[in-house]
Amino acid sequence: MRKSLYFKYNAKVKEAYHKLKEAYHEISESYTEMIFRIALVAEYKDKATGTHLVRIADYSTEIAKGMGLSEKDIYYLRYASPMHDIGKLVIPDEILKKKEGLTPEEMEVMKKHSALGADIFKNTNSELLKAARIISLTHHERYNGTGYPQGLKGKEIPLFGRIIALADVFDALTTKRPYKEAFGFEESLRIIKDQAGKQFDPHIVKVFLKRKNRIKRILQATKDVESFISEM
Amino acid sequence: MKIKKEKRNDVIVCTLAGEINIDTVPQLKIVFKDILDHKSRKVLLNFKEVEYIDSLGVASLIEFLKKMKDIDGTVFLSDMSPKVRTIFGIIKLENVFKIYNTEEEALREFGGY
Repeated sequence: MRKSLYFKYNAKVKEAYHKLKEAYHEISESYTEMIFRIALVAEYKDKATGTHLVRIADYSTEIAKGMGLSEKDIYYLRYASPMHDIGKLVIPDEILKKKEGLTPEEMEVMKKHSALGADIFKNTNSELLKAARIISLTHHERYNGTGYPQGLKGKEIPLFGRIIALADVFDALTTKRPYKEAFGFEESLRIIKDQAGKQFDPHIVKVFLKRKNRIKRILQATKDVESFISEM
Repeated sequence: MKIKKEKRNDVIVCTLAGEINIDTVPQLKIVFKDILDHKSRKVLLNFKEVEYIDSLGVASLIEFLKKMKDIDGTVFLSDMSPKVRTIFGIIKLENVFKIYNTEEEALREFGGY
C-alpha cells in the first residue's frame, strides 16, 4: 500500500516536473523572441531590413567556431548580437537618419547609443541579457584603445565585444547605407586586415580571414534574400 | 541535421531536426532536388525540431519556394519554435511562406485530410 502510494506520488512529481520544464521552455522561447523583436525596432530606425541582424549573428557564429568557442558561447553570441544597437532606440531620428556627415556635437550624441543600450540591460540576472549588455557597451571599443565609450584597450575589451566589433564593421563596409555605397568583398577584407591590431583584435582578424569563403557565402545568401524580398 | 521524408496521400512531409545552417544546407538541397525531380507539387516542411536557421538556410528555402512556384507547386511550413519564427519575422518572410502552427492544420489546408 505504502509502495503504491509512493509510485503514485512519484508519478505526480514527474508529471509536475515535466510541466514545469515545458513552461520554462515556453517562457525562454517567448523571452528571446521578444528581445529579438525589440532589437528589430532599433534596426528599423536606420536600416531598411533585418537581414543585417541575421548576418551579424552568422558572422559572429563563424568567428566563434573558428576560435573554438563553446556551444554556450555560440548560443549567446547568436541571440545577443542582434541587440548590439538597441541603444539607437533613444537616439533622435534627425541624427540617426542624417545622410550628410554628423557635426561633432551630433557625433557625441550618436556615440551614447552603446552606453544607453547597456543601461537597458543593467542589473539583469539573465546570462543572455548579460551578454547583450557587454556587446552593446563594448562593440565600438577599438583594440588600440581609441574606441568608445570607455577607451578600453586590447584584452580589456570583452571577447564578445571584440567579435561583434569586427562583424558589425565588416557588415557596414559590404552593405549600402544612407551615407555610403557598398564596398566590394575583397576590398572590405583588405580594410579589415589593415585594421588588425589597430581597430580589431589581430587574432580575430586572422580567424575571420581564414573563413573568408564561408563569410562570402553568408553575404551572398543574404543578398539573394534581400533581392527576393525587394522583388515581391 | 536530420530529415525524415514521408508521403501522406499526395503531400510530401519533411520533418526537419537540428540546425539548418551553412554546413547542413547541402543535405536539405538534395531532398529539395529529389522533390522537384519527382514533380511533387504539395510539400510540407515541419520545423518542430529545428533549433536554428541561418542565412544560408533561409536562402535555400527561398530558392526551393521559387522553383516550386515555377511548377505550380505549394510549400507550407509548420510547427516553428518562436525563436526560429522570429528569424523569419526579422527578415520579413512571415508573409512569404505560409506558416501553420501545426502539421495537422497545414495538412487540412492542403485539403482532403
